[in-house]
Amino acid sequence: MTRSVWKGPFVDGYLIKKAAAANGNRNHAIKTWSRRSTILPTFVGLTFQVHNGNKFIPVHVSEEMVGHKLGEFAPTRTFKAHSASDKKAAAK
Amino acid sequence: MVAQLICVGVITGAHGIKGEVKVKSFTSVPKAFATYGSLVAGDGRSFEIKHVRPQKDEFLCVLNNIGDRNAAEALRGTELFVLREKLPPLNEGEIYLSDVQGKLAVAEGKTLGSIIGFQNFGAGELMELEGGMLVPVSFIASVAEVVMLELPDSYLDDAKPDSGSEI
Repeated sequence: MTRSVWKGPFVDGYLIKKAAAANGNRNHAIKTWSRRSTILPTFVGLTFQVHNGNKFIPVHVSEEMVGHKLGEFAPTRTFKAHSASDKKAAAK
Repeated sequence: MVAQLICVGVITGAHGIKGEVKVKSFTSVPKAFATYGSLVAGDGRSFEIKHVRPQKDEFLCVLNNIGDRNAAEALRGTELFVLREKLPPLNEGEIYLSDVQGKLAVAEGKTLGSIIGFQNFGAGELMELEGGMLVPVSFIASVAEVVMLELPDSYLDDAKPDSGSEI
C-alpha cells in the first residue's frame, strides 16, 4: 500500500466541521481559504467559496469532483489572449 | 425585431488541401453546432456544412463553396452563428445563457449589476457581473426583465474581495 493511500485524503479539520454543520442547510455557502483540502463525498451538493488570492470563487460540488482539491476549481491566474498586434511583433 | 444571433463556433484554421476547415465548437454538446442547418458569419455570409467529423477537441468540416486551402485559410477566425429561433425549445426550469446576458441581476432587493459574461472553471457555469462578482448559474430563481437570484445566506458579504481574517 502506497503511503498516500494509507494516509487517506487530506482535508482541513475545520472544513469537515463546517460541511457537517451545513449539511442540513443547503442554503449556505462555505467560505474557505483551504485550497489544499480534498473534496469528500459528503461535500456533494454543498457550495464553497474558494479564495483564489484575490476574491472568492463559487464552487458547487458535484459527484465527479470528489477526490479533487478545492483549489483546482478556483484558478489563480487570468489568461489574457494575445492580440493580433502581439503576434505581428513576435513574428519579426 | 432584430434577429438574435448565437455564436456556436469559430473557424480556427484550414486542414488539408481540399478546403476543409477546423471548427472549435462552443455548444454544450460539441457536435450540436452542425445540427442547426446553415451557419452565418458576422459579415452575413452563409455556410452549409456538408460533412463534419471530430478531430481531437475540434471538428473538421467541409463547407459549401469552399473548395481549396486558400479559401479555407481566408476563413480563419470567422465566428459562426445560428439564429436564436433555430435552437431547440427548453424544458421547464431551463434557460439559454445568451438569454440572460446583459440583463440586470437582482438579489435580496439589491441590484448587483448586469451580467457581462460567463466563466466555467470546472465547477459549473458562473455568471460574471459588473464589478467582477461571480455567481453560479444554479442560483437563478427566475428570469424576466431582470434576473432574480436566490443566494445563500451572507453570500453577498462573502463574495467581496479579501477583507476577512478567517482561516
